Amino acid sequence: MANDVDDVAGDEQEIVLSELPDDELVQQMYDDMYDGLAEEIGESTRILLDRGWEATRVLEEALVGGMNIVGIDFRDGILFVPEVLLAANAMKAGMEILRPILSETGAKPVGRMVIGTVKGDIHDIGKNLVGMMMEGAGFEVVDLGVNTSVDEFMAALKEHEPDILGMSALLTTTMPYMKVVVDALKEAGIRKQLIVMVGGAPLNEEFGRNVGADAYCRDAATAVERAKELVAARRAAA
Amino acid sequence: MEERPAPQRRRSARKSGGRAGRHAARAAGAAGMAVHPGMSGGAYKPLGDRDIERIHDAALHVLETIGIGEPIPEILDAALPKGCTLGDDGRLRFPRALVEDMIAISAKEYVLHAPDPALDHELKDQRVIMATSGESVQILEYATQRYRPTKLVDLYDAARLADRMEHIHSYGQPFIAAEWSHDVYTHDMNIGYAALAGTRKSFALGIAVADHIDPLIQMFDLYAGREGAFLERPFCTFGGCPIVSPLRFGKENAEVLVKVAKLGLTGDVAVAAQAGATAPATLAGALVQTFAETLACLVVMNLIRPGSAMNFGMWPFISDLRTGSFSGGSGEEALVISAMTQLANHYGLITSAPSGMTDAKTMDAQAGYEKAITTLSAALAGANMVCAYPGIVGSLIAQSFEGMVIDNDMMGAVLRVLRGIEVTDETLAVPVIEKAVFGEGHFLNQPQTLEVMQTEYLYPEVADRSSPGDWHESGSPTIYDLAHQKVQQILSSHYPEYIEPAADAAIRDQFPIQLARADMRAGNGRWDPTPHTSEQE
Repeated sequence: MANDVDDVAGDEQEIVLSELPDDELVQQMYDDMYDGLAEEIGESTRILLDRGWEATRVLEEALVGGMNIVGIDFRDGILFVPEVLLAANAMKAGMEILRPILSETGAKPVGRMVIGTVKGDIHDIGKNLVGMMMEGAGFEVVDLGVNTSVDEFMAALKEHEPDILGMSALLTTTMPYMKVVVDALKEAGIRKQLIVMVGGAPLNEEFGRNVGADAYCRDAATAVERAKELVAARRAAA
Repeated sequence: MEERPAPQRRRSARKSGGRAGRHAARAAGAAGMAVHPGMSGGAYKPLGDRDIERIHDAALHVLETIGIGEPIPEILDAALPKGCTLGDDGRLRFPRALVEDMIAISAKEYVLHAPDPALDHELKDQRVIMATSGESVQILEYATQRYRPTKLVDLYDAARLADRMEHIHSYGQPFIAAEWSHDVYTHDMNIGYAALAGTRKSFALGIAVADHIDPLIQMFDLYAGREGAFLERPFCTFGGCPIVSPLRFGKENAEVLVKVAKLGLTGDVAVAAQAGATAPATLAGALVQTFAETLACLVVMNLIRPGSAMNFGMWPFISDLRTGSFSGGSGEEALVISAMTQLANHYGLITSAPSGMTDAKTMDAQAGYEKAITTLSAALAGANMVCAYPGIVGSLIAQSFEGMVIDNDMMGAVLRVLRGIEVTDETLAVPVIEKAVFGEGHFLNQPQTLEVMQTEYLYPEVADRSSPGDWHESGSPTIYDLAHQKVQQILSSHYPEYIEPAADAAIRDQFPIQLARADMRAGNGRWDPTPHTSEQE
């Protein structure tokens, strides 16, 4: 039974990454990303750079392209969370190589996010998942952890100047705190500079609207998708 | 800058193949990863050892003193020389020692062959497989919520659907082809053909005319490509209920039992006395009587052919004494089927047990709990063949295709319970706990999680685990609606060609096959999506 699967997967084939032409190498990276092969993604990223690819092109065509496929199959129930995290880990391996080059060249990163579980709440598995998936999609993620107060959020926003603020809550008693944070953003006059995304088991679309968020995200995959859309829209408008 | 690693020959050890490989693996299903047919039951034992002895003694006393009425001549020919006696009252009485001898010599295991040998199952010990069963007469239609008479083409569809259900390991004819009930020969040949055409799993047919077995075997030989092939690997069992309770032989089915024994095939009986109506109202009394009745069948088979195998289908049913009508789903039913399984297992017999026979008229919450408690009980008791009646509703009256899909999930969950918990150094996971606690604080990206996500957990096909928000957004479908989508998806596309064209031509040439070829191809209109169903996405 397991053997059948292996046969389908063609486990025996040997591939020399450096010998593949660009288009095949990118396709191979999609597969390697899918399979969560961090080392191979790192190697392929270096090969593309050596061949003269711009870092932004490697990021967008190879890495983000690969994670997009992962995102689609996660949404469709084909990939499981542990598999997606493994893919995200492979993505990170590529990002680690690209990030210094990207910042050197002043290229715009995919996006930066400050994320935290709101004050009074210490349930963070969903928030962690969003953080990992966002990193996997190429975002830079600053995780403030749990029980985050308005002041802590404000300080982090000032320091990191993110595109996105993400907040999570699991308790119905703590979720209203999101509105407290959004109101503080308005008061400080920085609400419009930020994309505010909220999530957590008891939340829904309506709650997201009521607290003044730009998006409610029901799961980590949705969060990544919405984040990419909203950042793209914002940049297009700018 | 550190030296880059030289281009390496890479070969993924764990998994490779990317998206295409994973899609193929997922499409192949989780078969055999978390659960598989043949896992052992036997943990649930409602009877004490002394209870078993007393039921045994009482049943043998009943056979010796009350006996079984209306024995057919072939049974008399086999039984009387061995010490059975025929009373002036026309009842055949079985000496205690003979019954015990026959229990001792009867086969305690056999291979349940399937048209596809990969789907064969060994029935022995307390290993459990799951099967469909039935012979109901109506279909519950999803769109109208009305019952309508079953047709031959429905039977073909049921076989195709069961073919695709992972936790249905064997296909027992779930209903009759009602439009051919006036012509039993045509009926019987066609139910055999419909099963052959629709599934590669082993199958069972309810046959009440012994003379129809030879032609069916001839058909199966044509299918297998050579005369004699079927008897070498019998992938179909023929059976019914040779006993009319209380304690009488039913002529037609007794003749089938004798015929099957003579051919050396496995007997498939379902002795279904109804406690309170055709058996004592006390559950123990119902066990005594049905044990005696089923033993009589076992004795008959082994008198005719020593060493015969028989699915020991001791199926005590329950009456609702408020109305006198049959009831299939209750705590009492769960108890008696488990008790009878325990009893039969005590002697090492090959057991079949009924379950899932809900009295609910549709696949509602009542159906869910009635089906689950009885199926779980039968499996935990260790019945070799749990005839779980997937899809049956309305006290065995009707079959629901959607129900078969929902019950497939339920049967999977039951099998998962049956498998139990493996406790090893690895599964105790202490180093993993340590790594997570002192690391990222969670287990979602621990290698062990990835490793066991499909072996430790079984994921339901249609049971809804989405969030309330998602559920609401997708139109608040019930499991029944989701199952309907699955039914439509499978039955509009799964048209297997299990019968070779040449064999099909030969079968159609020699038998009055009524299943039109046009109805056995996609696009025939039967399962095209209907506009009123709310499709997701």
